Amino acid sequence: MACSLRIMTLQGKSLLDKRTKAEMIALLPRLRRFARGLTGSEEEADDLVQAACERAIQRIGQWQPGTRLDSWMFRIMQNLWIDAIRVGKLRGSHLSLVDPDGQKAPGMDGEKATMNRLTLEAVRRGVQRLPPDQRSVLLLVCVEGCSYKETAETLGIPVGTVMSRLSRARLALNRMVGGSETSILAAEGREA
Amino acid sequence: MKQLDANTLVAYVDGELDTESATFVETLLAENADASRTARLLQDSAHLIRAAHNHVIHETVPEHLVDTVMMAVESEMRSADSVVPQHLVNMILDAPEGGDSMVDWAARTGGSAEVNRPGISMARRRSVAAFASAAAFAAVMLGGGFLIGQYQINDSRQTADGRQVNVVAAIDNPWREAAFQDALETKTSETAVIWNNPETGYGGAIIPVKTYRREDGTFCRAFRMVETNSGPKRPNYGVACREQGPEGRWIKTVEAVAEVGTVPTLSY
Repeated sequence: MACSLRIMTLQGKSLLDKRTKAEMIALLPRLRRFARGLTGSEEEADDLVQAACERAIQRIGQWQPGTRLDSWMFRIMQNLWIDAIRVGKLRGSHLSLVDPDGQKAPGMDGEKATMNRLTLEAVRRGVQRLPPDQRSVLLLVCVEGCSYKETAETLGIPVGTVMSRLSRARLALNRMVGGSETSILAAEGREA
Repeated sequence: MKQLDANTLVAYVDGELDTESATFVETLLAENADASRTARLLQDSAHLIRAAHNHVIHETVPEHLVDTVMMAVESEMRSADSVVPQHLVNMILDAPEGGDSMVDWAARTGGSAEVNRPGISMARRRSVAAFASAAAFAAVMLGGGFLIGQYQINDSRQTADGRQVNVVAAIDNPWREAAFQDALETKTSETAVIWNNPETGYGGAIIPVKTYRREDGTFCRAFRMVETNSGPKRPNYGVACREQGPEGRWIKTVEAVAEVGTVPTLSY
């Protein structure tokens, strides 16, 4: 409806009020998850989340009220991350530092848990080997559950680019992780 | 025969194709065992990718991150019960502005001039509202729209009068009322709820613009109203407070109306 567009254009300002802050705090776990996937390191991820929150607070006036705060903050985070890689503050790829004990689900027997852990660890390593632009698309779609359109809007790229980056990432990951049908399916069965 | 490319296959697995394309992909998959296996692998790996990263969501968020947000200076100030809060007056006067407003805002809220200004007593609430709408009128005239901002409070402006104030008219329009309750109860500030009465053809929007809390804990919100049928006496600004209790309704406590033709009318 045209009128909703008109109304939106009349609004331009958002302020940091309690509600926005509460929403931001509620987003922290997801921001951390996204950051962890990007950086592969807990410490760097939390630094990134902190930087993203600070920037979001600073620039809250640029957030279009009525649009999604999560997409906006993901975008801020992605930009900060890319910038940090460019200036060499962060490595584009991190291959080791994911907590290996984080995956042990209760009630699993040792062997299965180990198998599971190894597979998931391999997936994380695989994700860290992807080029940064593919990694963020992959994380937004597969981990954050964003649609292609939302991902495109969040990253400021065309949907076609989302699709091509995503398929390259997914196929590359399939090759890296196990590479065979059975290993992936077996691990998946255990995870579920 | 059309070839199944990787992008399409991945989009199919992610449920991003429309029904027609998806059906088409399915027929191709039925004929092609390799592609079919790849599709299954892609689906499985999507779950794996999520599982590999999802544990972070269950971790305790480090306190310093929560504090970063929690301790941030709010754009809003607490106010005493018996006065029209200064920030509310500011809000009505300050039309939305674009760009990076944080610095401006911090300067305004942190600056002694604004913070130390005494509140305005209940008795003057009406005149404040009238004055506010008069100033909003001035903003519209001067700026050509609501996007102009930066109205500072200034005592001489408080003498502006002659604007009509309507106090709490009974709400007889269920459409407007439903939108009103919905907007104030569930929408963030600056998010419009649009209503439309098919019987009369009239419609409008309710836009909460600011939220504050009185000392007794009552939440109040300032709102803006725009209507297709906005006549000269139709209020377009107001403040409503929420009744106590889980199903508390929002009750208007003050309304104000700007002069004829000064508020942009909504066109469908």
